[in-house]
Amino acid sequence: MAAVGACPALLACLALLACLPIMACRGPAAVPLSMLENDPRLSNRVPDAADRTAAQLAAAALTSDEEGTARALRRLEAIDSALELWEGQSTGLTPVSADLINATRGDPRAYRTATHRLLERDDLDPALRTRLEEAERDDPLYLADARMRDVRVWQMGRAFNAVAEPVGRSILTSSVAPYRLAAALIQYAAELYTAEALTLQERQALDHWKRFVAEHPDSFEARKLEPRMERSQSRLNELQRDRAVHSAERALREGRVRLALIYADRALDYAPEDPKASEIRERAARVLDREREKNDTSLMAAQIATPAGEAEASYELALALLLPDRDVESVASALLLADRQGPLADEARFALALARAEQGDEDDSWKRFETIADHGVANSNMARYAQTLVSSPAQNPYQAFRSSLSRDRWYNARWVMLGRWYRGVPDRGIPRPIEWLIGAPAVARDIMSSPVRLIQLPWKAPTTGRNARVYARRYLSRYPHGAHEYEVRDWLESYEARHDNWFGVLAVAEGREGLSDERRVELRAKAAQQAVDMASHEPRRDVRNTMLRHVAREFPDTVAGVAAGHAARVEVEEASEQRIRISRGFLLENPEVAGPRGLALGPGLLDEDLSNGELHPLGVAFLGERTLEINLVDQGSDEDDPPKAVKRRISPERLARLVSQLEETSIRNALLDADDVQEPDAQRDVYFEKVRLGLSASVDPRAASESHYVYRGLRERYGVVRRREPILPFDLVIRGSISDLSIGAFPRIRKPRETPDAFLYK
Amino acid sequence: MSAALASGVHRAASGVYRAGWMLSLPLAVSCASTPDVDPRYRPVENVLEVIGVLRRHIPDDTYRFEPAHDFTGRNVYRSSLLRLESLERVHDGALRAGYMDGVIAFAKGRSLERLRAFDLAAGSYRLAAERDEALRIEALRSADVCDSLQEAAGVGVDLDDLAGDRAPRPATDPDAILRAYDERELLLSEVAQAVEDTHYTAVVFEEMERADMSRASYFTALRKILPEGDVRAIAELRRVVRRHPESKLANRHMLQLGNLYADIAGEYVDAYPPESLQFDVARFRDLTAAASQLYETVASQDGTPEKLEASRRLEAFLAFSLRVDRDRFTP
Repeated sequence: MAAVGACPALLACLALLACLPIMACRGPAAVPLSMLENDPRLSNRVPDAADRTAAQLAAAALTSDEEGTARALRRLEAIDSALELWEGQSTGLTPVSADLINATRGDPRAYRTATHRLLERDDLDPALRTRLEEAERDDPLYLADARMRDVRVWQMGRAFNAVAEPVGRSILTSSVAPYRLAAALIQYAAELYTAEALTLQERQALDHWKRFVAEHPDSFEARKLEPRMERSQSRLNELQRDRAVHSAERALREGRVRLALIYADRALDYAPEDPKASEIRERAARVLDREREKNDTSLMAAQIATPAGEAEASYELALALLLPDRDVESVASALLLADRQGPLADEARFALALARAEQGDEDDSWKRFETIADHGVANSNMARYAQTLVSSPAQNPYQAFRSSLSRDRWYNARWVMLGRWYRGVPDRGIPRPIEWLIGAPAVARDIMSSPVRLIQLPWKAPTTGRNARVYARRYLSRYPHGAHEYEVRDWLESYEARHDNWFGVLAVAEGREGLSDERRVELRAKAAQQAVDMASHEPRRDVRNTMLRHVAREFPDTVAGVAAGHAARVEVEEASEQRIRISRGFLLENPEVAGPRGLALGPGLLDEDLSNGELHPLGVAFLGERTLEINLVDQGSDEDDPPKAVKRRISPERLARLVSQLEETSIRNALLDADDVQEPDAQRDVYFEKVRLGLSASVDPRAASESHYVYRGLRERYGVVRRREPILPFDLVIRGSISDLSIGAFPRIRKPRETPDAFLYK
Repeated sequence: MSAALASGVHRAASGVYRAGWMLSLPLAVSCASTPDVDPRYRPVENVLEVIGVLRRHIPDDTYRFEPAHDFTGRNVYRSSLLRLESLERVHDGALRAGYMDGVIAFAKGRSLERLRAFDLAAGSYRLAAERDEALRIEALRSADVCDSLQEAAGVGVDLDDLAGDRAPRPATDPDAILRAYDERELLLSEVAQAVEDTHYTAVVFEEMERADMSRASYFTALRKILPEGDVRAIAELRRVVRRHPESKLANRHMLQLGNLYADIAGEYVDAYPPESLQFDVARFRDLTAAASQLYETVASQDGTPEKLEASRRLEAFLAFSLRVDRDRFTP
């Protein structure tokens, strides 16, 4: 009876339990009852004969037991043959073992030769094949040959392009073909003439040869390479000498004599007794000696005695200039009135200009200095000082500011007229007239398109106004309430506003007397928002938090300031040791990571069915220690909305397995697909290492140990269609020009791509 | 010199040159002519010429802005001093009559105090006070200020004590050194109050900055000996940066702090090779981030020479970080 009586209650409970998922599925998306499957129990693997042999082989290889390795390999080959015969599938251990044995050979060349033979096998795992191919290519001679091949391809390509482009562009306008061809060939000839003695790729090749010879000094190849290396080294010295001479010439032309001397000396280091470098050095030394002589002369005193009648006036003016309470203006005016052409008249004028400056009449003072400067150094001993003052951007920042604006306007006008030639022809070491002659056709073409540039001027002007900004700031810093304060402040405010630098605008505006409250409030709000935006781009949580707290402290009266304070508090509350994320796309593309040997994610979370709960595109994040954050599509929302984040702790074993699976998968993916690289991230690696060693319990709270690495799927990175590296070495170019109303199509050989280490040779 | 007199002198000189030219014509075929003296670099003509220029730059705030340079590119206070000394030498006889002695001594004092030769400046001022009654009060006041500055400069370890060519002072008691620096600061604060609203304000601020720099340099020099030396040195350099944001040397202070971080990063890599198990990724990252950030900040300051230095140093520092494997440091 009791059993019978219990039945309705049991049924009711069961019915309620059955209803729970239905109730949970009412909205478009539901939080599933179990996001992670129970910790999967994986049975211990019992090593078989192949495993034991592999272990013996590894042990033999580590102890350099050649006989043992050979014996173990033979046994593995026998096991694989038997398995293939009986089960149609081998262990796959034989090629790996062969590679291990190859690795025990001391000589890298022997290893590469053995690897080459190993690659001829057809039973290699694709990932192993990629790794072996990489190892085979890591050969100095192979790399040097590849770089020399690049040189030849580009030498040929440049010649080909020089002809193909003008011909291709003259399909519809064949009458101008000879002209275009001639112009292109002249350009090509100029390029050849100005080309450096050794290209970057040749320098790389030379370096690879040097490495090979250092590693194998007695080899046959090393003996063969020696004359080539000597030739290249001599061309490298020539290149260095050319560069140094070119820099020395330019420095001398620009009046930077000391720099010219340094470069000339450098050129002489590469080519001792080089006539050109010696000549530049001598010239520079002569100029420097002359300069020193002149400077020393200027420090001497002339044997000109002050006339007796002027002595008292001179003394009075000296006192007025030296003592703080004297009236310089009246003493100088009296001296000037006494004799406007007298021997001390210039000194009196200079003193008057000083007095005007100290009285705050900035414009009048500078006008007086300019007048003295205009007398010329031959006519006035004070002119040189006045000229220095007037032309010094530090002393006369307003003048520098105006000049900079004028220069910018002039460059903009030239750019509209001449296009890319607005600063003249490039300096390639060819005489300037010839350079202009070569560039003349292109200049003419660019002049034709000046109306287009006139339209583009507002957003494509070649000048940035940065120099004017420096001088404007300098002026306001030196004369915060100077005569041109408002003009300069207006310009600087508008400049900073154009560049969305509201901090800058606020700093300039706050120096202004009578700044309205509305304007101050507006600028503070914008500056605070700018600071919050900047903070949001900061990856380090400690720096970000400091920035946010600073905004909250400095701008408490703004919306952004309040938000910054809130964000800083939330960040502290929700701070985690790590934030390494695996996106949903990655999990979909790599089911082994999502599956029972990895994350063991509930299968319903990846079935694109919102009714049984779905993983958000943000996926799953490692928060450090043993905590995972699982981002789910929230109830009543879709995947474009913010996720519902649920935290789960998992066992250390499961975490270690997940991390290992994730890394194995990523590394394998990278070997199989060059686009699927796993970017380096030191912090991620340290955390994963800790997890694998079972040390995940020790939390590292330092912000510098936090990683933000994201494992993303290929589709998320590249979209549905990936851009592939073209197989053909050339592009087909279709080009039209409005300026000369031409259209054409031509093949263009691509320049070989530089290797990642190319920057070390520049 | 006035335009009329100058043109007269110039005309006379041209006449002499013309005559000389006619006479030497036969020789010109085989000899090179003497180069003309550039009038821009002609010798100084009178005391007023120097004092006029000096007066222009006496009120300069040399704490915030670079000292001015004259047309030869020299520091204007130094070139003024050299010209005054030349005038003294050339017009020794005339000046002995005495009418300009005090003026020249006073002007030399003004130049010397800007070159940190406070003791010499005080001597010059006293001479000026002795020679010229009109200058007496101001000269003695300035002499007192210079004496105080000299006294303050002698307290504690100064930058020149830490320079390579000087024997290092025994300074292993940081507390005593700190007390000395506090005393120096106190002395300078008193001088600052006394000279408020005069051109000495900039000089005193420069001295205060130098005291802070000396203090930071002291701890930087001893960072490998003192306990927690690196942390202390960083804190001291940060203090200099924080206390002198308006200084003309503000960028240089930041560069020095960046250099210290870079040095410590280099030492860290030497001590704990990146491939070793002791290498702490987070610690190294902290050091590199601090150095790079400081270099970047300075490199973004348009119109300053430190911009070039900082950008090159940043480049060099990033090149150094190439030594560290990517799995141990990711820039």
